[in-house]
Amino acid sequence: MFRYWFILYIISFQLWGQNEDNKKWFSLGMRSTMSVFSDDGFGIGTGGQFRVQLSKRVNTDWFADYITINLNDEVKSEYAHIGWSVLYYPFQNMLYPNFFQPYILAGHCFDYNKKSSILKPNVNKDRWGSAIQAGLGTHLNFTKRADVSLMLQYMIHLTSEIQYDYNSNNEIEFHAESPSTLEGHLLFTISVNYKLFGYGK
Amino acid sequence: MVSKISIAVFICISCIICAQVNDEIFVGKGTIKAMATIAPSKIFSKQNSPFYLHGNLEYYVDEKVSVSGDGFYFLGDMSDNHIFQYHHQLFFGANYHFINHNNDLYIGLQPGVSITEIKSFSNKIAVNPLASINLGYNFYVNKFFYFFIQIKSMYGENIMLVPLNISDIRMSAGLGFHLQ
Repeated sequence: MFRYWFILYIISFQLWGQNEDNKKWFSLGMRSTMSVFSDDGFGIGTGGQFRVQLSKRVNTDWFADYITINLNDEVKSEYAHIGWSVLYYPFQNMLYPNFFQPYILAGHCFDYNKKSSILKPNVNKDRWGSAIQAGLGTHLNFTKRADVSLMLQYMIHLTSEIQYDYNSNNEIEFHAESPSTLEGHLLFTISVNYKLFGYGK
Repeated sequence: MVSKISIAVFICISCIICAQVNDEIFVGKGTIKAMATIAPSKIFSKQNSPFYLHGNLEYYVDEKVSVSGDGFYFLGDMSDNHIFQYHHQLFFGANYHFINHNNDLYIGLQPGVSITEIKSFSNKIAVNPLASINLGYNFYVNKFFYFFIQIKSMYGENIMLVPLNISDIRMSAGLGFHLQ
């Protein structure tokens, strides 16, 4: 028993003894996402993420969000994303804890989409799929522990898209179409994050 | 009625004077605070004026940053155009504070969701993602009480039966409680 306490003490001592600027960080945050450019139109979303930093220049974002889009006041499109991105900080002179900390990112996510008639929500169709995303962003490090992150990324869906049209009775019908090249949406995300604890050297 | 207002004003002034005499600072890292108040709002797209029971719980993780959760419980609409059966919201995010003595000016971001039902013959409930910006001021009068005023700008759309831009501006003010 004493051995375990001793190991814990040594680990704690090592963590506390480090310079905070050289630590890797685990962060938690909330995000608002705007789908600003897609076939579906403009939409807004809410979600959260946690970050696990791998090295001074590499971080990872693990996120989930829920976005709703109004298609011409006729159809509601709902997206749920659960995924991850790798963040790379390319500028040596703009690393943490510099106020501006730009990064490039790329990643993958699981993607759920449901489209339903706004007037008749029981008329709907959904699908599960997969997507990849890449983009640019920057952390704004307001304090050593808290940042606001701005991010612009394009997400490409790797699955069939749900489209709608009107049948002969002028009622909405949904059907799946094969994905066309680079079909997806441009997402702008603003998030607030707090570094909960540091680890490693 | 006038005497009640006079007593309330007297208590407020006394608290502020006491705080200044004591010259203590009542806010900082580790402060946890809570409040409840009535919050009126204005939805400009439809000229609606819903009002809410607004509750807040906030924790200062350091001298400049707090994490904050807010709930808005729909109570009614002050306009003639009653469109909501209910329109409750939850927000969670962070505020950045500019603290000077016991004066606390802040700005913050809070993503959230609304749970909304439009008045109609169906019982269709919509869960709508929301984004919001906070701007506010707290004045800490003693170890336990503070006065606050907050303006919140909220963005969102209800996409169910009647598509409706539910973006609004709302205001909350009153007395809150805190511990350090």
